[in-house]
Amino acid sequence: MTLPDRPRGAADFDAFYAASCARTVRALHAMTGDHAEAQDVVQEAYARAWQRWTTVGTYDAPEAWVRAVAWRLAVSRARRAKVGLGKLRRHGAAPDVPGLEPDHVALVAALRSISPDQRRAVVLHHVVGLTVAEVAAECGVPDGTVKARLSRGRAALAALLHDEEPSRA
Amino acid sequence: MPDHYLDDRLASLRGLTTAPLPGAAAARARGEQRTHRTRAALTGVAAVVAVLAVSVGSAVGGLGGDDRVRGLTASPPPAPAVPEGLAVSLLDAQDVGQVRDGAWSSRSTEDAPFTVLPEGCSGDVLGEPVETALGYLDNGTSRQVAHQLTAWPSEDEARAAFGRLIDAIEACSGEPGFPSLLGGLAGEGPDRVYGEWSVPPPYLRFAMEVVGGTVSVVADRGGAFATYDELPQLADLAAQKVAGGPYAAPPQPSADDWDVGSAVLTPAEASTVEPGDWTAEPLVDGRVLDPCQTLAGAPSPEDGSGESLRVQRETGGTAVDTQVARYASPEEAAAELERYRSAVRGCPVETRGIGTTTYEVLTDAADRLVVREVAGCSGCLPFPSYSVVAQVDAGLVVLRVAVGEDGDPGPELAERYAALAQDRLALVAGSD
Repeated sequence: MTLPDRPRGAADFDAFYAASCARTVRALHAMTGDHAEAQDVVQEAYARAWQRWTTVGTYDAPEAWVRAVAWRLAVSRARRAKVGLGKLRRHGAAPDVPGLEPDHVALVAALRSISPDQRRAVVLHHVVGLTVAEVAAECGVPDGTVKARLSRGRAALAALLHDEEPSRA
Repeated sequence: MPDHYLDDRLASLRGLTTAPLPGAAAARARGEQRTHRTRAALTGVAAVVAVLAVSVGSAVGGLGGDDRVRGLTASPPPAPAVPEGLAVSLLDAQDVGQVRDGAWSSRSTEDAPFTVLPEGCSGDVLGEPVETALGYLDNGTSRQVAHQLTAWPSEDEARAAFGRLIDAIEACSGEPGFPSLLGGLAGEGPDRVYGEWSVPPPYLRFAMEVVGGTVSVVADRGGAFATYDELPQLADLAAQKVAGGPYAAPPQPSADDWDVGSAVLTPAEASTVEPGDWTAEPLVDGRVLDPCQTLAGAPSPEDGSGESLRVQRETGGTAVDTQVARYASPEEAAAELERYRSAVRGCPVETRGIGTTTYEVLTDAADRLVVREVAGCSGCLPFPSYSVVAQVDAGLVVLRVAVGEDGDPGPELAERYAALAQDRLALVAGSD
């Protein structure tokens, strides 16, 4: 008797994971400002995607599904941490985080200073590269709301990063 | 700051460095762990996931060799340098050395000349164990020992797998292309059987046993003068080792530890209320179920370990947003329900343009609250939505029922979805 090499659908999932995981972690890192948290919520989101792969695998944009779930997990955890309910779920020690470039450190810190909705819109549009319509679809809000969040988010970031603007002749 | 400068800086985040990421197999294994509801110690999960990534994700291929007896795992995972998870319970050189003379050493499973049970004999009866582990040892002669372990979420499931394997072995014994069991399977109590395959020497004997939540198979392949007496001793050693390992008695899911994800309303269930093409997707905004979400600063229910899902009819019509939260106790859940009730009562009426948002409490029972909300908007028709919060023991299920182009469905539909969601929560949480 032989065991199957991988469960049915695993090849597609593995290819999807390999193509999207790093990108999703980067996006969640930018959204949450916490690399370890981003890794954890993204891994949990992929685990849930695998649980539902017969459905999620048929979506036009399974990566958007994973990203949305990861964001939802991050929001949920932040809320629990805020009110002190439950315990943070950490699956083993966080991996060593490679050193970030100084510019990225400042950017991520600035992103953490703006509202979560604005931060998410800015990251999805500027970092992930989604159009306004795609951001609206992923966030479940109208296009106009996304435009407003982008506008306000960029204005807030510009003010925060003003001191770091290079001098121009 | 010039726009293009900010754009460039934000775009540079696409190159954010990340720490090395686990492989896809680890993500799948984590998903399967959630499915099996194994209550691993949080600090141990990383180790479990790592081992699963090695053993579950292994590729299958023939083991080669000239022995006609193949194995449970045709191409077992490589032997880890330091055993982890289930592999710590495999027989090692020291164990076998207690029973047999000679200098025993572990071999790579890739170099193993034989495996345990006939390939093709058991078909797909094994199913999906939580974890598998395989080890080989020899002493530089024709004497070899193999030990294979499969771990299951419970002892009952291990016994079921044990039974399936017995049935499969007996069914194929003597069939064309398969060796025969000499003397059939000899039982030793309800949990252990012995067998011997009639292959050209060296013969292969095995002992198969249920130990806690595992099925343990020890195969003994010897020379012409191999005796049968040592196999029970090897099997005893294996059982002792498994019994002292991490999978001896897998924890049973506790009623206090139910998975909130399983309590969320499913499309199939929603279709029992309104037939149609339902789809499911995660909610993107955790605050969507706050009846006062339109008002800045309004309190929102705090969830314990919440899970959210939107179930909606693809062709338009009703959208049902579900959020389930599990609290430390029924008292905490009741307190959250009361907080939600207070929030609703405190929602002021907001006027926007030509519309006015109104909140009306339709049902106010001890364990259930139903609120009708009609949002005002400028230049559009107001579509009512219904928020339901219901408690089942330590769980809260929060629903928002919104109807697309169908207008106001009335509170009865919301109550039906609420009842469905409560029933599902009761089922998952193990309530009577």
